[in-house]
Amino acid sequence: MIRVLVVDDHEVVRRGLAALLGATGDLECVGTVPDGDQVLAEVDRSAADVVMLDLSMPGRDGVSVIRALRRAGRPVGVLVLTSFQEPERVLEAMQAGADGYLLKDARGERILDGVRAVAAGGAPIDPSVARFLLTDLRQHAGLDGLTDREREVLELVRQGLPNKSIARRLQITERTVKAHVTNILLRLGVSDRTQAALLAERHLHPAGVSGG
Amino acid sequence: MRTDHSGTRQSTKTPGTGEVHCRQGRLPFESVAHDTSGRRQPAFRGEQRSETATVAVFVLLAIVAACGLAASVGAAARRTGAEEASRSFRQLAAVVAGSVVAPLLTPQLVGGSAAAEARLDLAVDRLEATAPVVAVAVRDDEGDVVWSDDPSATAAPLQPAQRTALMDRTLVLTSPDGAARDELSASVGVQATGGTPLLVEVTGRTDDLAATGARSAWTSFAPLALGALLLLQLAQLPFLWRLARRVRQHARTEAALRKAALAATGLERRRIASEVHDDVLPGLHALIYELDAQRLARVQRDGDAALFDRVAEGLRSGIRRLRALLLDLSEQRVPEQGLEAALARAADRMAATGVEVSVQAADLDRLPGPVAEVLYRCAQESLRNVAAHSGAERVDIAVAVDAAEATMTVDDDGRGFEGSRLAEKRAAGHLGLQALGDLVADQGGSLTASSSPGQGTRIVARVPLDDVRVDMGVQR
Repeated sequence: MIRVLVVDDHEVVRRGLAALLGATGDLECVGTVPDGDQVLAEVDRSAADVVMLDLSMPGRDGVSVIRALRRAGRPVGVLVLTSFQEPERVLEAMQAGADGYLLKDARGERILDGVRAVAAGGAPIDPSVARFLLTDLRQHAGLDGLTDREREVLELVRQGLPNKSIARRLQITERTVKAHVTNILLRLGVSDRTQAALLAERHLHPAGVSGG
Repeated sequence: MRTDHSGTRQSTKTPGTGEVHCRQGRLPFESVAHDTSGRRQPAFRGEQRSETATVAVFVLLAIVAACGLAASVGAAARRTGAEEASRSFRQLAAVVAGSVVAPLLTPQLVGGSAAAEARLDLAVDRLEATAPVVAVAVRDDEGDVVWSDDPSATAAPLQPAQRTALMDRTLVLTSPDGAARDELSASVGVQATGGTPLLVEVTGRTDDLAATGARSAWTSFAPLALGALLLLQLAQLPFLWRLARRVRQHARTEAALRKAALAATGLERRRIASEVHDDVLPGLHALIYELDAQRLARVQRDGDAALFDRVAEGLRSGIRRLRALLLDLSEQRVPEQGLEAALARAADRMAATGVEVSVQAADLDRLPGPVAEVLYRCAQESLRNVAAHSGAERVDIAVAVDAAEATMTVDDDGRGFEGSRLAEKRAAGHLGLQALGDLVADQGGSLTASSSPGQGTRIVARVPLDDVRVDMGVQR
């Protein structure tokens, strides 16, 4: 039997998930927790194998619960089950140490299979969410693959400068700048400079702090 | 949904902390509620000028107007004075010529008798001592000097007007060569006692004549008129001040109301969003889990499983639709995140459905909030139409801002429609574009949609920037 702890701030959802787990022969709901603060203690008490975790909760939210579990070194699998689909939230949760990320809209079988996969050491991730991870990975690779000059150009694009100003600033011709920009767009897999600028903003200047 | 559900939720959420977990993460209600108070909120941009400035400008204008009035009244008075002076000079010249000089123009005088000349000398001397007359001369029809109080006077041909005066025995005003500016001359035709027609030239000082009339009129009138004007202005000042203040208060209140209205709709949107997110969706999810649990437990036993599956699938699709609605509702207000960011997000969302969206826009940060809001609504509605009807693969959104207006163009490569179809749709009550047009018109702008089958659709929205200045030169 795989021991599962359900964490969600809505009682109806906790009850529904418990019922879902109860309909299987191999999964067992060993407890339900309404907020993030009690998760660590409840994991220890129930000796859960897998935590099904909602991200948005009063008190300590899902991401910081994951961090706390990882910091405490608990060998528990964490399956995020949430309605958040934003790239930032997904990345945040995965970086904090989640093992799986499924959406609440998923079919019951999918959710249950996700729990089993986490318990078996797998990483079940909703396809639409996986796309963000893939994009992020590619963009990181794309950014890493830029030459120093291309990075300089991208930084100036991020600041909103037109090609002419960039050329003047870097003392190169406008045509060279254009070539650099084209190459940058290609590497980052985006279609225009606004998107490139947004991407640079996100990856190179997270939260407005430079150097990242 | 279970009836105990909302009560349960209350216990797990602290009422009033006002945080909703929506699409954008946390949306702090507090700051919005603060906004709605409208107190001490400046107008969007372009703060009205202060009462003092308004009143000062008015007073300055009034002073300029008063000075102008004084100057023109002065000029008019001077002109009237000058006319008056020339009229009295004509009278004087007529009297001098007809009653003083003419009776002494005897044949002896014409003949050159010294005694007759002495008599005329005496009379003219006496005249010049009492009246503003400076010179008198008598000429014949040849222009020769018959008599003059100026010994240096020489013969000069008569001017046509003088000749007429001589023949008709009338009076004509002349300006003798080299005469001072403040002198007037008149030539009067008279008949010598012997019957010879002669011309009497009389020159008088106008400063004594004209200036007295004009200046007295001007100096007596000006203080009175200017004083009255000044008094009137002083009396107006308090009213003016109050009026200026009221106008400014009005503008401020209106701006605050507008802001509050925007904030209120935002607040309401978020309230609905949070209710759907916190109450409706979890309840529906829970139902699905229960259904799935039942289905899984019975799947081997009987045919109910298919029914459970259908119901659960129906619920799931309902949830997906609700969630899409939620995205719209919980959308952060455009002025808060900036039009550029809002458009980028909309483009991202659209991209997720497989339609490529490019956004061309720069330096939109300085667009006034209402304008950004309207343009964003246009983009949103256009994208919605593209997704629902066009079958487009690519959408280009471009926003251009100049000093006078902001223009947004949304182009798609979809199947387009005939112009008349749009009218049909409108008649049938599909009011999306119509409502959008109204929204743009409210901001004083215009919205045009152009399309033909197979040619895609272009939506152009223009919104004037009014008095609100957009500082184009400033980079982020």
